[in-house]
Amino acid sequence: MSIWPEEALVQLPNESSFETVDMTINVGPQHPATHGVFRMALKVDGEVVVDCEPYIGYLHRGLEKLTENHDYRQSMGWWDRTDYLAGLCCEGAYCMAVEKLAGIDVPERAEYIRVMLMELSRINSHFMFLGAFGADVGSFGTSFIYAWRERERIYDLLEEVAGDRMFPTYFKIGGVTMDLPENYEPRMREVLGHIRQGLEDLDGLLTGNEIFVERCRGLAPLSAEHAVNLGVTGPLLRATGLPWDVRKAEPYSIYDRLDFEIPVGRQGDIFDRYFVRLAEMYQSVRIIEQCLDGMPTGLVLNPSLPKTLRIADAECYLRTEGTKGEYSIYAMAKGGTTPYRMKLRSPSFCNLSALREMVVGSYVADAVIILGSLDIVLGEVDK
Amino acid sequence: MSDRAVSGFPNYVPDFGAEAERLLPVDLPAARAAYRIVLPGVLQTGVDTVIAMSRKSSLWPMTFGLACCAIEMIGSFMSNHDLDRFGIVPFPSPRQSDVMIVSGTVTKKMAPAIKLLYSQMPNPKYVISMGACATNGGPYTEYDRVLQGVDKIIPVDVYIPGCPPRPEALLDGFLALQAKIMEEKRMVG
Amino acid sequence: MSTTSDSRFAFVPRRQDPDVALAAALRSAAGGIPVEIGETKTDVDVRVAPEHLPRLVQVLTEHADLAFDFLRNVVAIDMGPVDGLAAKYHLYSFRHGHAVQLTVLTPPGNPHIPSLTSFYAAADWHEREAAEMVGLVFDGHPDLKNLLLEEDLRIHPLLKSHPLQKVEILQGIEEGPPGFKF
Repeated sequence: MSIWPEEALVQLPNESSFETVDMTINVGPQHPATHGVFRMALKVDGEVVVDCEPYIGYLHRGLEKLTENHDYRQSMGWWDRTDYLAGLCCEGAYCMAVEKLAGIDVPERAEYIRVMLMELSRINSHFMFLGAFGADVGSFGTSFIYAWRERERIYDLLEEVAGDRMFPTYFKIGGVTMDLPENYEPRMREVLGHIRQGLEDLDGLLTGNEIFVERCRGLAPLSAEHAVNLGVTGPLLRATGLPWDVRKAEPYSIYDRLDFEIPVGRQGDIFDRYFVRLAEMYQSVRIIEQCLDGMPTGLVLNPSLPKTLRIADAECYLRTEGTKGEYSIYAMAKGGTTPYRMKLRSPSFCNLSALREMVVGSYVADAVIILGSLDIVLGEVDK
Repeated sequence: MSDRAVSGFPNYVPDFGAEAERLLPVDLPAARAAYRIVLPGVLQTGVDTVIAMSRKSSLWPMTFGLACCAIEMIGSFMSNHDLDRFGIVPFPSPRQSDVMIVSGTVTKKMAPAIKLLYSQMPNPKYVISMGACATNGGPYTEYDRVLQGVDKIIPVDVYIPGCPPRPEALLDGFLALQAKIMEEKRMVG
Repeated sequence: MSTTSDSRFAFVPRRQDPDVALAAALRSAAGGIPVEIGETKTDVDVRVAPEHLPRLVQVLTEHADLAFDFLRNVVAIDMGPVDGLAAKYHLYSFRHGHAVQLTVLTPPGNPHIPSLTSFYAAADWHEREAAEMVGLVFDGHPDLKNLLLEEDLRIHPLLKSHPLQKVEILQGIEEGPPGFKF
């Protein structure tokens, strides 16, 4: 059952006189649209997609099983590789989940540092989206290279803080590992200036571009009720018109003290999703500046952490706003040094289950753009 | 861990289906270079050197980005750590590429696809195993759905350690591969 | 953006702690359905038997003060040989901004739970994953086949009795160098 209006579907001429056969195209696990190892079998009738069956699991690495067998503090290495475009957001979610289970407090300064670096990672991930989405729509390498220029600057900042570009295991249960290096603030502000400039460049390249707008406007619109029923969150849901963001609706850490807005679209089509993400990046820059302005002094790690972390019977379901949507962790502890069960509710998994609804009825070329606009990262989908 | 009474699913016997056949190593048919058949022994050293130099200067990788290492691989193709200056241009299709960079965790579900892609590449072909996951399973090696290293199914020329390796490390791996190509000019052809 | 005129959405920011008022509302709305209401560190927990689950979810979706229209998450847990397999559902209401957790325990040897795909389209993939990970069977699901694992595998990795593989440090070093055998 397609959600497209009747006029938008292609009417084949003299259909009864043609003998047509549906062809199955396998957009296999390796394909140049760099979204990872994802496979979909498109059944096409000419150019129109009649059915779409997504196949996932090519990167199923056993995050949950491995977490059950290792100490709480050891598991962070796997959790930050789930959303590998924004490792620190996942680390933050994991640390907050374990802290909620154990009842460990985090000092103020550590909260500010965490939020600042999480928002920086969010900007990082959205730059990758802008680059890859531009490449999907047609600007083959241009938007990609522009986006990566800014990403490398952000990677340099993250490397200064903790040593690794993508997965600095910087957050610890109870705070962060060590304080920010000296003179971090002026360098951060300089990079924020570059980010603003880079956003303007990409905005100028893509948003006003006639080809981009023609291809994206009106494609795969999703209504808010349908999106909610499908379990879709994040920029996809905000593009449909619902201003729902976990940072505002169920605030965690210090987000209730920070002042930022939630950009919202109107129709839920692909252009709206792109624009919501672009606008979110400006809001993230605003949040980082507020964190820098209001950063308190003090400890960065809870001084009274136990040597071995044993958590008695407890359950929690900690919701955070990941870069793609609601990134939540369900944790259950039953004594001992390892958790009994930790489940990742990943936004890409839930958004991807809505793919079939959106793709059926569109052209094959549009199917690639629709997949790109979902902005999935396969580490999250396959856990 | 294998005590069946511990779980809530009594009498659990896992059934792995046809997995053992899917995970056999790829079979390599014997290959000989055309010029060796046509001109055996004539001008071999000079021709070998020229051919090896031209192969190493224009390695076209098939981007086989599986997981997080793919992001660092993409980063090394971008303007900051440019790989194009070495003649390395990413190409998505296996039919026109020389080297396959396996970057990311190889799962047993993905293994048949990797074997197919490897056999679709024309000779001479090389494989770079980038990152800890492709070398021996990496941080995920204990999970039984993960293949403990891509060298269980295809032959690997260069291993690059790291999780993920920096773009400079990938560059170093390419330089090592180029040295290897120059060295083997006398051996395989 | 103005949200006060949007009737679908209440936008009451609520920190992630169990809501006592919600627990009382649930107890009164459940009526004849036998439920046990408890608390986790972040939510109110409602424990129900598998056969009463569809009726409870119908009440949760249709009752005006509850209005749970969003299924966020389905967790499948292996609770051990005494408690059997469990499924936890996390629901959220966009209208009122509150969240709840449902716990469904199945006895060992009978891992059947009615499917929620008729209420929420999101349940489709979540239930497929839960089924293949621990072996739960969701009655009424349109197509319960493997999602993350290969199609012909009948294994349940998240059961406590499913083993991990050994880390290979030495790969047959007695026969020769490690790696591919030419």
